[in-house]
Order: sequence, then structure tokens, then C-alpha cells
Amino acid sequence: MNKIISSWLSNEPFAFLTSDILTFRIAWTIRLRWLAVAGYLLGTIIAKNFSSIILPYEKMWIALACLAFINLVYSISSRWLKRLSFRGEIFVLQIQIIIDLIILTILVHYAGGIGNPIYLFYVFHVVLSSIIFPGLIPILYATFTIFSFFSLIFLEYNGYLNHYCLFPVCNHDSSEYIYLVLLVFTITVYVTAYICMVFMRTYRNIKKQIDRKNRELIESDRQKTKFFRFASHELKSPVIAIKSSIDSFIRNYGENVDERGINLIKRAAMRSTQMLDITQELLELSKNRALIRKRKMEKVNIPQLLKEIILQESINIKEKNQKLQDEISTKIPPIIAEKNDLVKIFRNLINNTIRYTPENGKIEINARTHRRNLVFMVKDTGIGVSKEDSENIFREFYRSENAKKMVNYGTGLGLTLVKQLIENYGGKIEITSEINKGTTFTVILPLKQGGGSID
Amino acid sequence: MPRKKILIIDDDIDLVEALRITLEKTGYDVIDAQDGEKGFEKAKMENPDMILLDVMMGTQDEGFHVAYNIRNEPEITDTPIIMLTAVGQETGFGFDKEKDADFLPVNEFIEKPVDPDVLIDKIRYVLGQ
Repeated sequence: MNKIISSWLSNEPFAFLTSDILTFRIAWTIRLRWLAVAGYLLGTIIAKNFSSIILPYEKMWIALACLAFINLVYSISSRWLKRLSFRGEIFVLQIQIIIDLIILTILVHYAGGIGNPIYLFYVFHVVLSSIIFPGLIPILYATFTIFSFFSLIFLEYNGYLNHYCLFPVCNHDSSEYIYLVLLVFTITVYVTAYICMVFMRTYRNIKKQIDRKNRELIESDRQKTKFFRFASHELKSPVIAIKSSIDSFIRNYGENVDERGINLIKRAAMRSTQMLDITQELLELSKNRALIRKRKMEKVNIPQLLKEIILQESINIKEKNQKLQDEISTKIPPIIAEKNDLVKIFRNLINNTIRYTPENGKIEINARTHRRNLVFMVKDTGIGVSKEDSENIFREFYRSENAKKMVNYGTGLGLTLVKQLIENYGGKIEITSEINKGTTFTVILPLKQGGGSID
Repeated sequence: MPRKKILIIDDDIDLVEALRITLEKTGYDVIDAQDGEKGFEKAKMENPDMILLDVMMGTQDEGFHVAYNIRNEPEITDTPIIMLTAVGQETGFGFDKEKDADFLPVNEFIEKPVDPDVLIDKIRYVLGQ
């Protein structure tokens, strides 16, 4: 992402035109050229066999063969072209379009020059160059197009080149007809170029704005994370002092306070613990988001890890008399990760599910490999979340309406942290849910860590 | 039995006060210092029976430096130290209590916020009471 942005920055006048896009366009023009060759060939075959038009078909086919050969060369060399610089690619495209124009002029010549409306095909080149090239370059191409066509007509008119008549009545020596065609042609070409240029300019400006907004968004998200980190860091010491003072008070002066009083202060202690949990999770989340934490990577045995977590959580499952059904493939290869991160991901999800599944409910845990990914699923017959809630459930501090009704206490940061951790390993998490039927969380983690956002 | 003397080294005076009350009510004498340097000086001067040391004061690992200094000072080299750490704290050391305790110059770790009963238990254990 940053690479694209910086290339946009460094090529301000060519905003929107990155070399990736250009490479794509080179491939695109090659495909268009094949289409043109095939179409033209088909046209000449039909004309030769099904019409009375007599033209130098063989010469046309030679020209077409030349074009096909050149296109083959482009096609083969395009792999090598990928290594060209941005400006190098622009240069190659310019040469290609000039050659296209020359070949089209030859084909127009053999097809009957001014007598064959096939010269309208010049407009394609004008449109193409206006889309591809920024600034005033398209005007140059439009002028060169007009110059090519003018030269052809001029040479045919004066007899320097042979004129092939399509029809018994030929207009190529009527100067008035020539002036009319050239006038209309010139206007068409320039207006087309102008319209395309204006459109592309608007398009590029919008693109620039979007890029800028996008950069601003990235920056503001970074600032938010930074703020979270500092705020939670700064809040921690006061909360620790508050909690310690309350605990000390309860222990050392508790007996002098009546029951309601002690109850009140115990609530305060509980709330300060809650606050500490929030600052703690926020701190952890922002550290993981900014990727400033050093991770101790190791090979983690997933089936073993999941069995351990399930064993630890089974007390909570028993307490709520829930039924657990797990299916963990033993063939899952180890994942290179910080074990603690994986523990947090799976424990959070499993614990979450237990908490939000009513008593006597059913929980299914499933882990297997699929296409070099670990697919982990935890499914419940719990309260479910609405569509709106499931869209927001991974956001900071968000707690679904149903969750609040069921469990009073929660930081609203657990799932946010889970998602961040998963994304740090190049994976993703999805939720599907139906109110009062249940929820399924699906985690996909790549088994091989190849690039991505890792470290 | 004479009252044992405990030195608390922590820059949060409110936290120190909360701990002091618990410790004094339990029967210890408490002295305190607000930073590592003063704490070290006080340890040498007062020769306490035990030191409660906050790991992160001015810097992320000031507490560790203080602990090393104490261990390198012949007169107080054997004074037991309980290190106070904040939950999930980044110490800059990446230490693991269980694995690293051997070469760390402290006797025990306690996570803040400190549960008073846990604190007293640990102090008794460290002092062999």
C-alpha cells in the first residue's frame, strides 16, 4: 500500500498512472491488437469472397502479418518490460502507438484510402492515447494522427501513391470531397481527444483526492492507536493506586464500617479492577496494532494447544452445564507464532462463546487444515447477534445489545484484540450469526508465514 | 521479637501510603524512598530487613538497576527484595518470572495492584516468619 502511495507521490504529474497500471495497460493493448488483427483479417476475407470489391488483399495480409508479428514481439517482451522503470514503460507505449498508427495508415491505404470509412478507426488510437497519457501528450498524438491521414490522402491525390478504388465511382481526386472529409476528420479527432483528456483529468483528480483522504485515514488511525497507548499507559498508575488504596482500606479499616458501607467500597474495588482490565487490554491492543511488540516466535503445536485451552475452560463449561463437542484434526502442522498470541486468540473466542451461550447450550469447536490454512471454528447455540451488531462486533469498546443484556461485565476489547492478533499473522476472522439461534466464529490462519503484515 | 523494618522504593506516594498502612498494621516498620538513587542510599543507611522495589520508576527497568546495585553492596547484599511489577508490564527485559528468577537479583515478584493478603504472605515467606 505504502509503495503505491509513494509512487503516486513521486510521480505527481502522472497521478494515477503507476507502473503497475501501465503494465496492465500494455497487456491490455496487446489483447486489443490481437482483436484488431483478427477482425481486420475476417473483414478482408468476407470482402474478398462475398463482395465485388477488388483490393490488394495480399498486401493487406502482409501488413496484418507484420502487425501480428510485432504484437507477438510485444507479447514476449512484455515479461521483460515489467522490469522497466515507469518512464521507460511510458516510452515503450509511445513507440507502440506510433507503430500502430503507421500500420493503420498502410491498411487504410490498401483498403481504399479516403473512399473507405475504415479511417474512422483512427479514433480508437486517439481515445487510447488520451486515456493512457497524461498532460498534453494526447494532443500531440491527435496531431500526429491527423498528419498521417493527411499525408496519405495527399500522396494518393497527387499520384505519388496508387489509390485503390473500392467502388466504380471514386472521390479521391475530388478536392472538395477531400477538404470536407479532412475537416470533419480533424474536428472529430481533436474533440475526441479533448473530451477524453477532460474526463481523464477529472478522473485523476478524484483519484488523487481519494489517495489523499486514504492517507489521512491511515494517519488518523495511527494517531488513534498512539492515543490509546498513551492514555491507557497514563491511566494505569492512578488506577493501580486507587485499587491498592481501596484494598488497603478494606483490610485495615473494614471492621469499623457497616455492611452497606463495606459493600459500597467493595463495588468500587470491583469497578477499579474493571478499569484496570480495560486499560490493560487497550494497551495490549494498541501495542499489537502498532506492531511495536517484539514477538518470541516458536513452533506451536495447534491440536495440543487447543486441547489444553479446552481443558482449562471445561470448568466453566461444566458450571453452565453446557455440552461441548470438539473435532480437532491431529494432522494440523505446527504454526510459527508467539504461543501467547495464539492462546489469547483461541482462549478469548472459546471463553467468549461459553459466556454468551445460555445454560444447557451446545458448543462446537472444530479445527482442521484447508489449503495451507488453519481453519478454526467455534459454534454455539447462544443468544446470537444482529446483523448490525456483527458488523461492529470487532470494533473497540463495542458490545452487542444481546451481550450487554446477558453479561454485565465486559471490556468490549476482547474481540478487537483477537482480530488484531489474527491479522498480525496474516489471517482473518469472520462471524455468522442468527438471533436466538447461535453464532459461529471462523478463524483462518495461514500455516506458512509468507510476508504479509508479520514483523 | 523486634519489629522488622521494610523499605518501600516506589515513586507513587499514594501507593506507598496504601502499602504502608497494611504493613504497619500487620506489625512492620516502614520507611520509603521515591526513586532508585534515594532508595539505594536509604538501604545502605538504614539497613532494612527487606525491600519492596517497584520495577518501573523513571525508566522501564530502574528497579533492576537498583536491585543489582544492592546485590553489589557488601553490607546489604543479602537483604531480601520483593519486586513490584504492573500487570503485563513491558520491562524492557522481557523477563519471565519462572525462568529468569535464578539470575535476577530479587527473591519474589508481586503484581500490582497488590492484594494485601498476598503481600503479607510473601513478606512472611521471604522473611522466614
